[in-house]
Amino acid sequence: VRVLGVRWGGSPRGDGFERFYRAHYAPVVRLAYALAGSRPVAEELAQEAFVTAHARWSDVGDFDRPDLWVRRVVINRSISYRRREATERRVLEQLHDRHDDGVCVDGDRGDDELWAAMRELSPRQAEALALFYVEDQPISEVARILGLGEETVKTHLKRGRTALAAKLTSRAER
Amino acid sequence: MSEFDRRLHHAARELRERPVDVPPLAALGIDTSPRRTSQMPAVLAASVLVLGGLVVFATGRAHFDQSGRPAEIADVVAVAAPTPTAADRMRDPIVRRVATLSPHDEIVLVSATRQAAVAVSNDESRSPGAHVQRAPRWS
Repeated sequence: VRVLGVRWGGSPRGDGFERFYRAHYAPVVRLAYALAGSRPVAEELAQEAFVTAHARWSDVGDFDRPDLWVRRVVINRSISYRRREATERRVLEQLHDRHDDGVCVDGDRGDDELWAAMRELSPRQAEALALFYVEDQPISEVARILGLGEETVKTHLKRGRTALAAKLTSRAER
Repeated sequence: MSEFDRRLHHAARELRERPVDVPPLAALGIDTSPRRTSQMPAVLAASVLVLGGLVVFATGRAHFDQSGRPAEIADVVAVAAPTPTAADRMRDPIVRRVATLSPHDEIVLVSATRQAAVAVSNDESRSPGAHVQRAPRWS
């Protein structure tokens, strides 16, 4: 209930936000992992996204789908991290003449080679693949989160799959 | 389904099933305790206090104005003061002091003063040269 611009009854930053956080934290961490490549970094990015959501909960909580909003935030942060990390890696390679295949090893099991190859795709292709496969979101939701048309998402998925398969084949042949 | 598609689906399912611990909100520096979140905003609380004060003040003023006491007090002062000039000088401060009293104290004080003024007036009206030209309005 809003009176004089103040929400009364229930706590806007209490139960509602906590339920939202508990329901979406884990899938958001997994999405960040697929895009950023490191479990600790993924957790950090997800937590930052939820802290941002909490700070703006008076607005975000009124959204039709705040879960889509927080995914958009974590995608943006993951892509920014990836760009930063790629730049740092290039600098380190130049400094130490070090070879790095881009695989982030942080103790996680699973197909790290596949996720590492996916992070070499264009950001849009990686985002579309992560949302569609990791999050298991339908095309319509992927389109809403990325702010794209459904046909455009389908194109990114198709090209992303093709490019990913080529990268994995190339890695296998090395 | 190609070998690549199977690998992609399997990797995605494996990632979805990977357990993720959900840290408490406090670990993120977020406090959602009811005490803090249901607290009335400070600005609104201050506004309520100011508005409440104004209502009490206005009610008190209305009570005082409707009581007709300033006129009565002016008459008492006119009788009790040694000269008309002194009465003019004393009247307003006394009226202001009486206005600060509670309604009960005000009634007691004015009643007692009225009786004293009537007694003084009666004495002076019998004395030639008394400076009081008019009798108190109460009777």
